[in-house]
Amino acid sequence: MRLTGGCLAEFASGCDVLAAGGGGEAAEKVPMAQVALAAQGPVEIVDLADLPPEGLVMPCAYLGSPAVWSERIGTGREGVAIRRQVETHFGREVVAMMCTEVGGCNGPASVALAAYAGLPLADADGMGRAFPGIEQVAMQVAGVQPGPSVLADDHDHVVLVQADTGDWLERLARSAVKAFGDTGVSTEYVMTVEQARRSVVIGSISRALRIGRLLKDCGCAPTKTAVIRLAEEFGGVCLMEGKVSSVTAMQGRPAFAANLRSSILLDGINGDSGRCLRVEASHEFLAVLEDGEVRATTPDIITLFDVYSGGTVATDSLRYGQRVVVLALPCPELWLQPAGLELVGPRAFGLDLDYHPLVAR
Amino acid sequence: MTYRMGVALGSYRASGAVLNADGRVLASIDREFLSVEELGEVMRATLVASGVDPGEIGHIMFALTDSRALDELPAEAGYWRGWPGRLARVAAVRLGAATTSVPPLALWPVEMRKRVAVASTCLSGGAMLDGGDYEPLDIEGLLAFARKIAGTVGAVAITGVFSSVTPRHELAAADVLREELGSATAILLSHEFGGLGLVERENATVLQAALTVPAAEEAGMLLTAVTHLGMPNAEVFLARGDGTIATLDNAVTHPLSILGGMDATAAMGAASLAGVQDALVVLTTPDGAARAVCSLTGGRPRMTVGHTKVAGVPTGLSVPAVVPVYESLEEALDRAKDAPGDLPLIVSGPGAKAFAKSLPRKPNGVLDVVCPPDTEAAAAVGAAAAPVSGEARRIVPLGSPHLDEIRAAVREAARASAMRAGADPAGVEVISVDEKPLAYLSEPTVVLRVRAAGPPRVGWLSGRTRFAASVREERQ
Repeated sequence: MRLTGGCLAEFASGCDVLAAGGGGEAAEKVPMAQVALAAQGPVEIVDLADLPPEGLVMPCAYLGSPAVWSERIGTGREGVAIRRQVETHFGREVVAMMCTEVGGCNGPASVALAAYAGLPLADADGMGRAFPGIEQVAMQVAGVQPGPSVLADDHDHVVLVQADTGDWLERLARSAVKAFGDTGVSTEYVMTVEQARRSVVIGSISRALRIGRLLKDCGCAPTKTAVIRLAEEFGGVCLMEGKVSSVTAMQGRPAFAANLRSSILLDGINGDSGRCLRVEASHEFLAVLEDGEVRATTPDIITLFDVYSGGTVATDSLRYGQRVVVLALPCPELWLQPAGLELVGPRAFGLDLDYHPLVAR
Repeated sequence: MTYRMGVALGSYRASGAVLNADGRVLASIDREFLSVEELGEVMRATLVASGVDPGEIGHIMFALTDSRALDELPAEAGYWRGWPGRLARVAAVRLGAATTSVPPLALWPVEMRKRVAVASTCLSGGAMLDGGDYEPLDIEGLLAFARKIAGTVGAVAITGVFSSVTPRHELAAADVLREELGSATAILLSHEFGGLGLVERENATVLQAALTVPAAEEAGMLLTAVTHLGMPNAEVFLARGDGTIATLDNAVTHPLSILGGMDATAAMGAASLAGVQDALVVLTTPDGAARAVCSLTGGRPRMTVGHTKVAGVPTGLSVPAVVPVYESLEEALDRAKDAPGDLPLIVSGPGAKAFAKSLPRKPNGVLDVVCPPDTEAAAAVGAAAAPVSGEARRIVPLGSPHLDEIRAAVREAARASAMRAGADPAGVEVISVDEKPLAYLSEPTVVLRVRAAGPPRVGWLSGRTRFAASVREERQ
């Protein structure tokens, strides 16, 4: 399978659906992917099964502040320097790039990175959705060594960080990103293809493409119809069509991740009038409750669609009066192991809730 | 006694109003407007209705839309209606060499790029978030580019990485280019248009540069009409999309700022006629249909969060967030609201009375329906009554030891910006201070945004004459 400029818009809309309200808007990074594909030609999307088992897979993502990234938009070539450093360190060849986080803007950005690095993109990712933490990846659950971390900025400055614990790795990597000026590209959890086959979320790129295509096929159909089709096709649940009746932000001092924590109330409309949902959100939507019952929780993918535009809604852009349709898609199964839920279940985000499997009604 | 005149020129409809110094409407008119030739008639009819002598008009505020305005540029279509061949030819200069992931103008609709852009370059320069140099400024590269484009461009748009942190390199680059290109070439700098997001700010700056030529022609036409009517003392202002006004020369160098100006003044004018600050305003068409709903809080329209596309090009501009009325008025009213709770519904525009009559009952979510006198000319009233405002934005690390000085400097910059837009220096006040935290930064950092506003300056053009007159009076 080859990813060309023509399917980037669909791919990006699929990435947004998988982002669960976080991850940054994928459409914003479509231009960089478009420029990259126009310059370098299409990017090959490969199955891990078709790659040499001893070759290296390099998961990459932009990190730092989205605001800085919107100014320092980068070269897209940051992955070239990282690849060189990784190959020198491990003494073997990188055979594929992998998207660390398919949900949101790192989806299309990884296409650009792969194009310039001259690498195919593995049909896989580290999350199957979006999460805020570097260690909130499938590879962590599978026991892959996170280090070394290799970071590069837009001026080809490269830093290799080695540490024996995840905490030190993150601490040192973060100080490198700070020195870059709060933006850069990094790789962690570099692994062999053989390791990757049992340690990552398989099929993420093609899943995003399928979601994007389905939404495109739905064309002008009402948003709720499109969301119901998504739910049917991907084993999820269309929870409700509703109107935002309140957004309550938990105030705090501006912190590293700003003060993102909010509760949203939705009043059912049209076929759902009389119902009321409460949605808990941080960087992503974390849980949906109805009449004191849990309807969906992280790591299942809770995504809100704007009724009028049909597009997904970021957690920080919800406002009173907005009409939305709520979708919950099942997460990749690996997250449901105890170690997975400990990392990305509701309690990992400070909610006093256990994970509840999705149930259709 | 001096008076203010507001004139709103829509696609097929024009309105005019004359207000006295207290903001009371002396007279208003609303009529068909089929060609720009009728501009003089519209203004004359307004004057006649008010009984005010043309020489007593101190300010004229125009609100423009559609065929007579810069927002004639369709929001989504990939071409420019009207104004054939009148756009300035623009060269785009980006300061920040390591930003090649999306080169300047890379994703513009091809036809637009061909019409507007002569050349573009990405040179070393720009700032870091902490105010240091992103890259050293490439003076040699600027000189070489200037020599290459000399004689082929009408305007240059300069956009530097993080110019909203410090515009140092944009200003220095402008000096270099000015030296080479002379005064006939307009040079626009992106930090004046504010906002984060390099590509969108650059797009907006290039579009503004292209529009300087038609905007100046439009301005010339308005000035001629004003002069022909015998209003030597009147200073001309244009309505902006945020519902404020700016002097003609300021608006000409910021032409995109008038996008949505007519919607904003139509909403604000109706609310001020009704004497309310918080309201929903329904904008009507001449046949009495509801076109859109706009919500006002504290007398100001709710704005979009940016990402406005102009002629197929993404810009970071905000325009009034009007909700179109398709099928259900009540749904549109509810969508326009910022918060639960009933609000008064004010009817605005040429079809106001017909619309109010056609309502079978009071819509849900509405306290009462108000159709104030003169509301057919609400856009003209809103323009005439609007304040002049200015804004300054800066990215501020909260840990800075100079925090208080920075805050004071940004407030002062906002006041200065309002004065440049034509506010009365004696009446300018800071009206809002907003600090928005940025996520995932190693140092807690906010975007500080300060707005200042005041009444339009008085007697700017005739000040000397009046000074002479007052001296004469004192002598007598």
